[in-house]
Amino acid sequence: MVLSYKSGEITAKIKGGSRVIVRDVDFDIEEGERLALIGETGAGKTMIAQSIMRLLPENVRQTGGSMVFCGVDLSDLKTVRKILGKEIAYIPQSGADCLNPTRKVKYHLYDSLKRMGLKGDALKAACIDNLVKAGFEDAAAILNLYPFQLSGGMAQRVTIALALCSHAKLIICDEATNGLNYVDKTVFVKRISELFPSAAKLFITHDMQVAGACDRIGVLCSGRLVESGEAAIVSTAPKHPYTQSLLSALAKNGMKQTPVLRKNEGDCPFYPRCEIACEECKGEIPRIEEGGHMRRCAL
Amino acid sequence: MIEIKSLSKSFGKKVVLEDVNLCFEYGKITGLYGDSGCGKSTLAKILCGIEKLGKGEIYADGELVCSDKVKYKRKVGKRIQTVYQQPYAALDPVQRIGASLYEIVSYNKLAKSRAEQKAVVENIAVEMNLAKETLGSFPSAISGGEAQRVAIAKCLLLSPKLLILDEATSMLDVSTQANVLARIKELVIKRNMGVLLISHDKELVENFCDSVYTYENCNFVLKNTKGETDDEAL
Repeated sequence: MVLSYKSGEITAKIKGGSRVIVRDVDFDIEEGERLALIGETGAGKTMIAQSIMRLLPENVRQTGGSMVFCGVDLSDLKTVRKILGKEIAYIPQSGADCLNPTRKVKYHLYDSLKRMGLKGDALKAACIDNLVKAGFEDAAAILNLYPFQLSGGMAQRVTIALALCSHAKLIICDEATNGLNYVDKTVFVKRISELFPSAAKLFITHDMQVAGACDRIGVLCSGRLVESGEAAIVSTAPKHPYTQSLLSALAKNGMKQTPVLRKNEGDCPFYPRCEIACEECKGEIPRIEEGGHMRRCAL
Repeated sequence: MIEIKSLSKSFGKKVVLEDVNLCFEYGKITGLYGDSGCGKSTLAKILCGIEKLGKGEIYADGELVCSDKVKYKRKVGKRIQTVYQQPYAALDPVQRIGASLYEIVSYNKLAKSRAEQKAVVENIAVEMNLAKETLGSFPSAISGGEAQRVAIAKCLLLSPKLLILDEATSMLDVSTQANVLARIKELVIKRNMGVLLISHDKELVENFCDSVYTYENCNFVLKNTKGETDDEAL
Protein backbone atom coordinates (compact mmCIF):
# COMPACT_ATOMS: atom_id res chain seq x y z
CA MET A 1 0.00 0.00 0.00
CA VAL A 2 1.36 3.44 -0.93
CA LEU A 3 -0.81 5.70 1.21
CA SER A 4 -3.03 5.00 4.16
CA TYR A 5 -4.89 8.16 5.12
CA LYS A 6 -7.04 8.84 8.17
CA SER A 7 -7.97 12.49 8.45
CA GLY A 8 -9.12 12.64 12.07
CA GLU A 9 -10.47 16.16 12.47
CA ILE A 10 -9.21 19.15 10.48
CA THR A 11 -10.33 22.41 12.07
CA ALA A 12 -9.99 25.98 10.83
CA LYS A 13 -9.84 28.97 13.15
CA ILE A 14 -12.15 31.58 11.74
CA LYS A 15 -13.53 34.89 12.96
CA GLY A 16 -15.50 34.24 16.12
CA GLY A 17 -14.46 30.62 16.71
CA SER A 18 -13.44 27.47 14.89
CA ARG A 19 -15.07 25.21 12.33
CA VAL A 20 -14.50 21.54 11.51
CA ILE A 21 -13.77 21.39 7.79
CA VAL A 22 -12.87 17.70 7.39
CA ARG A 23 -13.98 14.83 9.60
CA ASP A 24 -13.50 11.04 9.48
CA VAL A 25 -12.23 10.80 5.91
CA ASP A 26 -10.36 7.51 5.56
CA PHE A 27 -8.95 5.96 2.41
CA ASP A 28 -6.07 3.82 1.14
CA ILE A 29 -4.38 4.01 -2.24
CA GLU A 30 -2.60 0.99 -3.64
CA GLU A 31 0.34 0.95 -6.04
CA GLY A 32 -0.77 2.10 -9.50
CA GLU A 33 -4.27 2.90 -8.32
CA ARG A 34 -6.15 6.10 -9.23
CA LEU A 35 -8.44 7.55 -6.61
CA ALA A 36 -10.57 10.60 -7.35
CA LEU A 37 -11.94 12.78 -4.57
CA ILE A 38 -14.92 14.77 -5.80
CA GLY A 39 -17.19 17.31 -4.18
CA GLU A 40 -18.32 20.92 -4.31
CA THR A 41 -16.15 23.96 -3.58
CA GLY A 42 -15.44 24.04 0.16
CA ALA A 43 -15.98 20.29 0.64
CA GLY A 44 -12.45 19.95 2.02
CA LYS A 45 -10.75 18.28 -0.97
CA THR A 46 -7.73 20.59 -1.08
CA MET A 47 -7.37 20.51 2.71
CA ILE A 48 -6.94 16.72 2.49
CA ALA A 49 -4.19 17.14 -0.13
CA GLN A 50 -2.46 19.78 1.96
CA SER A 51 -2.70 17.65 5.10
CA ILE A 52 -0.94 14.75 3.32
CA MET A 53 1.94 17.09 2.47
CA ARG A 54 1.77 18.73 5.91
CA LEU A 55 1.24 22.09 4.23
CA LEU A 56 -1.98 23.16 5.90
CA PRO A 57 -2.57 26.93 6.21
CA GLU A 58 -1.55 28.66 9.42
CA ASN A 59 -5.09 28.85 10.83
CA VAL A 60 -5.84 25.16 10.21
CA ARG A 61 -5.06 22.32 12.64
CA GLN A 62 -5.30 18.56 12.26
CA THR A 63 -6.06 16.51 15.34
CA GLY A 64 -6.10 12.73 15.51
CA GLY A 65 -5.79 10.73 12.32
CA SER A 66 -2.70 9.25 10.70
CA MET A 67 -0.93 9.31 7.35
CA VAL A 68 1.41 6.49 6.38
CA PHE A 69 3.27 6.74 3.06
CA CYS A 70 5.10 3.54 1.96
CA GLY A 71 5.51 2.54 5.61
CA VAL A 72 6.77 6.01 6.61
CA ASP A 73 4.77 8.01 9.14
CA LEU A 74 4.12 11.47 7.68
CA SER A 75 3.65 13.05 11.08
CA ASP A 76 7.41 13.75 11.18
CA LEU A 77 7.96 17.05 9.35
CA LYS A 78 11.64 16.43 8.59
CA THR A 79 10.78 13.18 6.82
CA VAL A 80 8.03 14.88 4.81
CA ARG A 81 10.46 17.61 3.65
CA LYS A 82 12.84 14.99 2.27
CA ILE A 83 10.07 13.16 0.44
CA LEU A 84 8.17 16.13 -1.02
CA GLY A 85 8.99 16.84 -4.66
CA LYS A 86 10.93 13.59 -4.97
CA GLU A 87 8.60 10.79 -3.93
CA ILE A 88 5.43 12.83 -3.58
CA ALA A 89 4.64 15.08 -6.56
CA TYR A 90 1.98 17.77 -6.46
CA ILE A 91 0.27 19.27 -9.49
CA PRO A 92 -1.59 22.38 -8.30
CA GLN A 93 -4.94 23.90 -9.18
CA SER A 94 -3.81 27.03 -11.01
CA GLY A 95 -0.78 26.48 -13.19
CA ALA A 96 -0.19 30.15 -13.98
CA ASP A 97 -0.18 31.17 -10.31
CA CYS A 98 2.52 28.74 -9.23
CA LEU A 99 5.03 29.77 -11.90
CA ASN A 100 7.36 32.70 -11.27
CA PRO A 101 6.37 35.33 -13.88
CA THR A 102 9.93 36.71 -14.09
CA ARG A 103 11.54 33.37 -14.98
CA LYS A 104 11.35 31.50 -18.27
CA VAL A 105 9.81 28.03 -18.35
CA LYS A 106 13.22 26.37 -18.75
CA TYR A 107 14.52 27.71 -15.43
CA HIS A 108 11.54 26.26 -13.57
CA LEU A 109 12.35 22.86 -15.07
CA TYR A 110 16.11 23.22 -14.45
CA ASP A 111 15.48 23.78 -10.72
CA SER A 112 13.42 20.60 -10.39
CA LEU A 113 15.72 18.46 -12.52
CA LYS A 114 18.87 19.62 -10.73
CA ARG A 115 17.34 18.34 -7.48
CA MET A 116 17.19 14.94 -9.14
CA GLY A 117 20.93 15.15 -9.95
CA LEU A 118 20.80 15.95 -13.69
CA LYS A 119 23.41 18.23 -15.33
CA GLY A 120 24.49 19.61 -18.74
CA ASP A 121 23.02 18.12 -21.91
CA ALA A 122 21.07 15.48 -20.00
CA LEU A 123 19.33 18.29 -18.13
CA LYS A 124 18.32 20.08 -21.33
CA ALA A 125 17.21 16.85 -23.00
CA ALA A 126 15.09 15.96 -19.95
CA CYS A 127 13.43 19.40 -20.12
CA ILE A 128 12.36 18.85 -23.73
CA ASP A 129 11.33 15.29 -22.99
CA ASN A 130 9.12 16.29 -20.07
CA LEU A 131 7.42 19.04 -22.06
CA VAL A 132 6.70 16.63 -24.93
CA LYS A 133 5.29 14.10 -22.45
CA ALA A 134 3.12 16.85 -20.97
CA GLY A 135 1.57 17.37 -24.40
CA PHE A 136 3.61 20.16 -26.07
CA GLU A 137 4.38 19.64 -29.74
CA ASP A 138 6.88 22.51 -30.04
CA ALA A 139 8.66 21.96 -26.72
CA ALA A 140 11.85 23.83 -27.66
CA ALA A 141 9.90 27.05 -28.25
CA ILE A 142 8.02 26.72 -24.95
CA LEU A 143 11.28 26.59 -22.97
CA ASN A 144 12.05 30.22 -23.76
CA LEU A 145 8.61 31.62 -22.92
CA TYR A 146 7.68 33.44 -19.74
CA PRO A 147 4.62 32.16 -17.80
CA PHE A 148 2.53 35.21 -18.78
CA GLN A 149 3.02 34.29 -22.44
CA LEU A 150 1.26 30.95 -21.89
CA SER A 151 -2.48 30.34 -21.99
CA GLY A 152 -4.16 28.81 -18.90
CA GLY A 153 -4.05 25.32 -20.38
CA MET A 154 -0.42 25.66 -21.46
CA ALA A 155 0.63 26.84 -17.98
CA GLN A 156 -1.14 23.83 -16.50
CA ARG A 157 0.79 21.52 -18.81
CA VAL A 158 4.07 23.13 -17.69
CA THR A 159 3.23 22.21 -14.07
CA ILE A 160 2.61 18.64 -15.26
CA ALA A 161 6.06 18.70 -16.88
CA LEU A 162 7.48 19.89 -13.53
CA ALA A 163 5.86 16.94 -11.74
CA LEU A 164 7.47 14.65 -14.29
CA CYS A 165 10.86 15.77 -12.98
CA SER A 166 10.38 13.58 -9.88
CA HIS A 167 10.44 9.83 -9.24
CA ALA A 168 7.05 10.02 -7.61
CA LYS A 169 5.39 7.13 -5.81
CA LEU A 170 2.40 9.31 -5.02
CA ILE A 171 1.03 12.00 -7.33
CA ILE A 172 -1.50 14.48 -6.03
CA CYS A 173 -3.36 16.34 -8.78
CA ASP A 174 -5.35 19.16 -7.20
CA GLU A 175 -7.88 20.31 -9.83
CA ALA A 176 -4.98 19.99 -12.29
CA THR A 177 -7.29 19.63 -15.29
CA ASN A 178 -9.12 22.93 -14.78
CA GLY A 179 -7.34 24.80 -17.58
CA LEU A 180 -7.44 21.92 -20.01
CA ASN A 181 -9.92 21.34 -22.78
CA TYR A 182 -12.53 18.58 -23.02
CA VAL A 183 -10.40 15.98 -24.80
CA ASP A 184 -7.23 16.77 -22.85
CA LYS A 185 -8.88 16.04 -19.50
CA THR A 186 -9.22 12.29 -20.00
CA VAL A 187 -5.96 12.25 -21.96
CA PHE A 188 -4.36 13.83 -18.88
CA VAL A 189 -5.53 11.03 -16.56
CA LYS A 190 -4.41 8.45 -19.11
CA ARG A 191 -1.05 10.17 -19.60
CA ILE A 192 -0.33 10.39 -15.87
CA SER A 193 -1.19 6.68 -15.59
CA GLU A 194 1.17 5.80 -18.43
CA LEU A 195 4.01 8.00 -17.21
CA PHE A 196 3.77 6.79 -13.63
CA PRO A 197 2.40 3.23 -13.93
CA SER A 198 3.36 2.12 -10.43
CA ALA A 199 2.65 5.38 -8.60
CA ALA A 200 -0.50 5.90 -6.56
CA LYS A 201 -2.53 8.80 -7.93
CA LEU A 202 -4.88 11.05 -6.03
CA PHE A 203 -7.04 13.20 -8.30
CA ILE A 204 -8.81 16.02 -6.51
CA THR A 205 -11.45 17.30 -8.85
CA HIS A 206 -15.00 18.52 -9.31
CA ASP A 207 -15.04 17.19 -12.85
CA MET A 208 -17.04 13.98 -13.24
CA GLN A 209 -15.28 13.30 -16.53
CA VAL A 210 -11.88 13.15 -14.80
CA ALA A 211 -13.29 11.18 -11.85
CA GLY A 212 -14.94 8.70 -14.21
CA ALA A 213 -11.56 7.96 -15.80
CA CYS A 214 -10.12 6.85 -12.42
CA ASP A 215 -10.36 3.46 -10.68
CA ARG A 216 -12.19 4.56 -7.52
CA ILE A 217 -14.13 7.64 -6.48
CA GLY A 218 -14.63 9.13 -3.03
CA VAL A 219 -17.40 11.72 -2.71
CA LEU A 220 -16.98 14.52 -0.17
CA CYS A 221 -19.83 16.62 1.16
CA SER A 222 -19.00 19.37 3.66
CA GLY A 223 -15.85 17.60 4.82
CA ARG A 224 -17.41 14.12 5.20
CA LEU A 225 -16.87 11.14 2.93
CA VAL A 226 -20.46 10.25 2.01
CA GLU A 227 -19.86 7.65 -0.71
CA SER A 228 -16.94 5.71 -2.15
CA GLY A 229 -16.57 2.83 -4.54
CA GLU A 230 -15.62 1.78 -8.03
CA ALA A 231 -15.56 4.71 -10.45
CA ALA A 232 -17.81 2.96 -12.97
CA ILE A 233 -20.56 2.58 -10.36
CA VAL A 234 -20.24 5.92 -8.52
CA SER A 235 -20.09 7.95 -11.77
CA THR A 236 -23.04 6.23 -13.44
CA ALA A 237 -25.31 4.75 -10.75
CA PRO A 238 -24.52 6.47 -7.43
CA LYS A 239 -26.45 5.45 -4.33
CA HIS A 240 -26.08 8.56 -2.17
CA PRO A 241 -28.52 11.44 -2.88
CA TYR A 242 -25.64 13.94 -2.79
CA THR A 243 -23.73 12.15 -5.57
CA GLN A 244 -26.97 11.88 -7.52
CA SER A 245 -27.48 15.66 -7.20
CA LEU A 246 -23.92 16.28 -8.42
CA LEU A 247 -24.61 14.16 -11.50
CA SER A 248 -27.89 15.90 -12.21
CA ALA A 249 -26.11 19.28 -12.11
CA LEU A 250 -23.97 18.28 -15.11
CA ALA A 251 -24.63 20.13 -18.37
CA LYS A 252 -25.61 16.93 -20.19
CA ASN A 253 -28.16 16.13 -17.46
CA GLY A 254 -29.88 19.50 -17.55
CA MET A 255 -27.90 21.45 -14.89
CA LYS A 256 -30.42 20.89 -12.10
CA GLN A 257 -29.93 23.12 -9.06
CA THR A 258 -29.99 21.88 -5.44
CA PRO A 259 -31.50 24.69 -3.36
CA VAL A 260 -31.40 24.80 0.44
CA LEU A 261 -34.70 23.31 1.60
CA ARG A 262 -34.44 23.22 5.39
CA LYS A 263 -32.25 23.93 8.43
CA ASN A 264 -29.55 21.42 9.28
CA GLU A 265 -30.49 18.92 11.95
CA GLY A 266 -28.48 15.89 12.96
CA ASP A 267 -25.42 14.34 11.41
CA CYS A 268 -25.91 14.22 7.63
CA PRO A 269 -24.06 17.03 5.80
CA PHE A 270 -26.48 16.88 2.85
CA TYR A 271 -29.65 17.03 4.98
CA PRO A 272 -30.44 20.76 4.30
CA ARG A 273 -30.52 20.19 0.52
CA CYS A 274 -31.69 16.58 0.27
CA GLU A 275 -35.03 16.23 -1.54
CA ILE A 276 -35.77 12.83 -0.04
CA ALA A 277 -34.69 13.50 3.56
CA CYS A 278 -37.01 12.19 6.29
CA GLU A 279 -37.18 11.87 10.09
CA GLU A 280 -34.58 9.06 10.13
CA CYS A 281 -31.99 11.44 8.65
CA LYS A 282 -32.00 13.61 11.79
CA GLY A 283 -30.15 11.02 13.86
CA GLU A 284 -26.68 9.57 13.49
CA ILE A 285 -26.03 8.46 9.93
CA PRO A 286 -24.98 4.81 9.50
CA ARG A 287 -22.03 3.69 7.40
CA ILE A 288 -23.26 1.05 4.95
CA GLU A 289 -20.71 -1.16 3.17
CA GLU A 290 -21.66 -3.52 0.34
CA GLY A 291 -18.96 -5.30 -1.66
CA GLY A 292 -16.35 -2.53 -1.82
CA HIS A 293 -18.96 0.23 -2.02
CA MET A 294 -19.52 2.51 0.96
CA ARG A 295 -22.18 5.11 1.62
CA ARG A 296 -23.22 7.14 4.64
CA CYS A 297 -26.98 7.50 4.37
CA ALA A 298 -29.94 6.56 6.52
CA LEU A 299 -32.07 5.76 3.47
CA MET B 1 -26.57 44.39 -31.05
CA ILE B 2 -22.77 44.05 -30.91
CA GLU B 3 -21.12 43.41 -34.26
CA ILE B 4 -17.64 42.29 -35.23
CA LYS B 5 -16.69 42.98 -38.85
CA SER B 6 -13.70 41.43 -40.66
CA LEU B 7 -11.62 41.21 -37.49
CA SER B 8 -8.07 39.89 -37.76
CA LYS B 9 -5.38 39.53 -35.12
CA SER B 10 -1.82 38.22 -35.22
CA PHE B 11 0.92 37.84 -32.65
CA GLY B 12 4.13 38.34 -34.60
CA LYS B 13 3.89 35.97 -37.55
CA LYS B 14 1.27 33.77 -35.89
CA VAL B 15 -2.21 34.53 -37.18
CA VAL B 16 -4.76 33.86 -34.43
CA LEU B 17 -7.94 35.34 -35.89
CA GLU B 18 -8.62 36.06 -39.54
CA ASP B 19 -11.65 37.78 -41.06
CA VAL B 20 -13.95 37.06 -38.11
CA ASN B 21 -17.54 38.26 -38.56
CA LEU B 22 -19.83 37.77 -35.58
CA CYS B 23 -23.01 39.35 -34.32
CA PHE B 24 -24.25 39.15 -30.73
CA GLU B 25 -27.98 39.79 -30.39
CA TYR B 26 -29.55 40.99 -27.15
CA GLY B 27 -31.55 38.39 -25.24
CA LYS B 28 -29.50 35.56 -26.75
CA ILE B 29 -26.66 33.43 -25.42
CA THR B 30 -23.86 32.75 -27.88
CA GLY B 31 -21.23 30.09 -27.22
CA LEU B 32 -17.65 29.99 -28.47
CA TYR B 33 -16.01 26.60 -28.24
CA GLY B 34 -12.40 25.69 -29.01
CA ASP B 35 -9.20 24.21 -27.61
CA SER B 36 -7.21 26.11 -25.00
CA GLY B 37 -4.82 28.63 -26.54
CA CYS B 38 -6.71 28.84 -29.86
CA GLY B 39 -7.71 32.51 -29.58
CA LYS B 40 -11.07 32.54 -27.78
CA SER B 41 -9.84 34.74 -24.95
CA THR B 42 -8.02 37.00 -27.41
CA LEU B 43 -11.39 37.79 -29.00
CA ALA B 44 -12.83 38.60 -25.56
CA LYS B 45 -9.87 40.86 -24.77
CA ILE B 46 -10.27 42.71 -28.08
CA LEU B 47 -14.01 43.18 -27.45
CA CYS B 48 -13.40 44.87 -24.10
CA GLY B 49 -10.38 46.88 -25.20
CA ILE B 50 -7.57 45.07 -23.38
CA GLU B 51 -6.01 43.85 -26.62
CA LYS B 52 -5.68 45.88 -29.81
CA LEU B 53 -7.19 44.45 -32.96
CA GLY B 54 -5.09 44.00 -36.10
CA LYS B 55 -7.75 44.71 -38.71
CA GLY B 56 -11.52 45.13 -38.69
CA GLU B 57 -14.20 47.01 -36.78
CA ILE B 58 -16.39 46.51 -33.71
CA TYR B 59 -19.80 48.19 -33.41
CA ALA B 60 -22.19 48.51 -30.46
CA ASP B 61 -25.75 49.41 -31.54
CA GLY B 62 -24.33 50.74 -34.81
CA GLU B 63 -21.83 52.98 -33.01
CA LEU B 64 -18.14 52.34 -33.71
CA VAL B 65 -16.33 50.97 -30.63
CA CYS B 66 -12.93 50.55 -32.28
CA SER B 67 -11.24 49.74 -35.56
CA ASP B 68 -7.70 49.42 -36.91
CA LYS B 69 -7.75 53.20 -37.37
CA VAL B 70 -9.85 54.34 -34.41
CA LYS B 71 -8.73 53.83 -30.78
CA TYR B 72 -11.02 51.91 -28.41
CA LYS B 73 -13.80 54.24 -27.21
CA ARG B 74 -14.10 53.50 -23.48
CA LYS B 75 -17.52 55.12 -23.05
CA VAL B 76 -19.07 53.01 -25.82
CA GLY B 77 -17.03 49.97 -24.78
CA LYS B 78 -18.58 50.01 -21.30
CA ARG B 79 -21.51 48.18 -22.86
CA ILE B 80 -19.24 45.14 -23.11
CA GLN B 81 -18.08 43.61 -19.82
CA THR B 82 -16.10 40.45 -19.12
CA VAL B 83 -16.07 37.94 -16.27
CA TYR B 84 -12.83 35.95 -16.16
CA GLN B 85 -11.90 32.40 -15.21
CA GLN B 86 -10.48 33.05 -11.75
CA PRO B 87 -13.02 34.92 -9.64
CA TYR B 88 -10.56 35.73 -6.83
CA ALA B 89 -8.18 37.42 -9.28
CA ALA B 90 -10.90 40.00 -9.98
CA LEU B 91 -11.14 40.90 -6.28
CA ASP B 92 -8.70 42.90 -4.17
CA PRO B 93 -7.76 40.61 -1.22
CA VAL B 94 -7.58 43.54 1.25
CA GLN B 95 -10.82 45.23 0.16
CA ARG B 96 -14.23 44.18 1.46
CA ILE B 97 -16.72 42.99 -1.18
CA GLY B 98 -19.12 45.87 -0.50
CA ALA B 99 -16.31 48.43 -0.83
CA SER B 100 -15.28 47.05 -4.21
CA LEU B 101 -18.86 47.48 -5.44
CA TYR B 102 -19.09 51.02 -4.00
CA GLU B 103 -15.87 51.91 -5.81
CA ILE B 104 -17.41 51.09 -9.20
CA VAL B 105 -20.59 53.01 -8.37
CA SER B 106 -18.73 56.13 -7.30
CA TYR B 107 -16.04 56.03 -10.06
CA ASN B 108 -18.66 55.72 -12.79
CA LYS B 109 -21.00 58.22 -11.07
CA LEU B 110 -23.88 55.75 -11.06
CA ALA B 111 -25.56 57.46 -8.09
CA LYS B 112 -25.88 61.05 -6.88
CA SER B 113 -26.01 60.64 -3.11
CA ARG B 114 -24.55 58.23 -0.55
CA ALA B 115 -28.03 56.80 0.08
CA GLU B 116 -28.50 56.21 -3.63
CA GLN B 117 -25.10 54.48 -3.83
CA LYS B 118 -26.11 52.19 -0.98
CA ALA B 119 -29.36 51.32 -2.75
CA VAL B 120 -27.53 50.51 -6.01
CA VAL B 121 -25.08 48.19 -4.21
CA GLU B 122 -27.83 46.49 -2.20
CA ASN B 123 -29.99 45.98 -5.30
CA ILE B 124 -27.19 44.35 -7.26
CA ALA B 125 -26.41 42.11 -4.26
CA VAL B 126 -30.05 40.98 -4.16
CA GLU B 127 -30.06 40.46 -7.94
CA MET B 128 -27.01 38.17 -7.70
CA ASN B 129 -28.27 36.30 -4.60
CA LEU B 130 -25.47 37.66 -2.40
CA ALA B 131 -26.16 37.69 1.34
CA LYS B 132 -25.75 40.95 3.28
CA GLU B 133 -22.87 39.42 5.27
CA THR B 134 -21.02 38.80 2.00
CA LEU B 135 -20.77 42.55 1.41
CA GLY B 136 -18.88 42.92 4.69
CA SER B 137 -16.53 40.00 3.98
CA PHE B 138 -13.06 39.89 2.48
CA PRO B 139 -12.62 37.77 -0.69
CA SER B 140 -10.75 35.07 1.29
CA ALA B 141 -13.87 34.44 3.40
CA ILE B 142 -16.25 33.71 0.52
CA SER B 143 -16.63 30.61 -1.63
CA GLY B 144 -15.66 30.33 -5.31
CA GLY B 145 -19.30 30.50 -6.39
CA GLU B 146 -19.92 33.63 -4.33
CA ALA B 147 -16.71 35.23 -5.66
CA GLN B 148 -17.84 34.55 -9.22
CA ARG B 149 -21.27 36.05 -8.47
CA VAL B 150 -19.50 39.15 -7.07
CA ALA B 151 -17.42 39.39 -10.27
CA ILE B 152 -20.64 39.22 -12.33
CA ALA B 153 -22.29 41.82 -10.05
CA LYS B 154 -19.36 44.19 -10.67
CA CYS B 155 -19.92 43.86 -14.42
CA LEU B 156 -23.71 44.24 -14.13
CA LEU B 157 -23.34 47.56 -12.27
CA LEU B 158 -22.35 49.09 -15.60
CA SER B 159 -25.52 47.73 -17.28
CA PRO B 160 -23.67 45.92 -20.08
CA LYS B 161 -25.39 44.99 -23.30
CA LEU B 162 -22.96 42.12 -23.84
CA LEU B 163 -21.64 40.07 -20.92
CA ILE B 164 -18.66 37.90 -21.82
CA LEU B 165 -18.09 34.84 -19.63
CA ASP B 166 -14.53 33.83 -20.45
CA GLU B 167 -14.26 30.32 -18.94
CA ALA B 168 -16.11 31.94 -16.01
CA THR B 169 -17.49 28.68 -14.65
CA SER B 170 -14.60 26.32 -15.35
CA MET B 171 -13.16 26.77 -11.82
CA LEU B 172 -16.55 26.05 -10.24
CA ASP B 173 -17.99 22.71 -9.25
CA VAL B 174 -20.97 21.39 -11.19
CA SER B 175 -23.68 22.41 -8.73
CA THR B 176 -22.25 25.93 -8.24
CA GLN B 177 -21.91 26.18 -12.01
CA ALA B 178 -25.56 25.22 -12.43
CA ASN B 179 -26.61 27.91 -9.90
CA VAL B 180 -24.51 30.67 -11.51
CA LEU B 181 -25.66 29.84 -15.04
CA ALA B 182 -29.31 29.67 -13.99
CA ARG B 183 -28.91 33.21 -12.63
CA ILE B 184 -27.29 34.33 -15.90
CA LYS B 185 -30.19 32.89 -17.89
CA GLU B 186 -32.65 34.91 -15.79
CA LEU B 187 -30.60 38.08 -16.29
CA VAL B 188 -30.48 37.67 -20.07
CA ILE B 189 -34.27 37.91 -20.18
CA LYS B 190 -34.68 40.48 -17.40
CA ARG B 191 -32.02 42.90 -18.66
CA ASN B 192 -32.32 42.06 -22.38
CA MET B 193 -28.59 41.67 -22.76
CA GLY B 194 -26.48 39.35 -24.84
CA VAL B 195 -24.15 36.78 -23.32
CA LEU B 196 -21.03 35.37 -24.92
CA LEU B 197 -19.99 32.14 -23.21
CA ILE B 198 -16.41 31.19 -24.02
CA SER B 199 -15.52 27.68 -22.94
CA HIS B 200 -13.67 24.54 -23.86
CA ASP B 201 -16.48 22.49 -22.31
CA LYS B 202 -18.37 21.29 -25.37
CA GLU B 203 -21.31 19.84 -23.43
CA LEU B 204 -21.80 23.02 -21.43
CA VAL B 205 -21.74 25.29 -24.48
CA GLU B 206 -24.11 23.06 -26.44
CA ASN B 207 -26.60 22.76 -23.60
CA PHE B 208 -26.58 26.35 -22.38
CA CYS B 209 -26.27 28.49 -25.52
CA ASP B 210 -28.75 29.50 -28.19
CA SER B 211 -26.10 29.33 -30.90
CA VAL B 212 -22.66 27.72 -30.86
CA TYR B 213 -19.56 28.70 -32.83
CA THR B 214 -16.44 26.55 -33.01
CA TYR B 215 -12.89 27.64 -33.80
CA GLU B 216 -11.69 26.44 -37.20
CA ASN B 217 -8.81 27.81 -39.26
CA CYS B 218 -8.45 31.11 -37.37
CA ASN B 219 -12.18 31.79 -37.54
CA PHE B 220 -15.37 30.95 -35.66
CA VAL B 221 -17.83 28.81 -37.60
CA LEU B 222 -21.51 28.43 -36.66
CA LYS B 223 -21.99 24.86 -35.51
CA ASN B 224 -25.60 24.83 -34.47
CA THR B 225 -28.42 26.86 -33.03
CA LYS B 226 -30.75 25.66 -30.26
CA GLY B 227 -33.11 22.90 -31.31
CA GLU B 228 -30.96 22.04 -34.29
CA THR B 229 -28.88 18.86 -34.34
CA ASP B 230 -25.36 18.82 -35.72
CA ASP B 231 -26.56 17.18 -38.93
CA GLU B 232 -29.24 19.81 -39.55
CA ALA B 233 -26.72 22.61 -39.01
CA LEU B 234 -24.43 21.07 -41.59
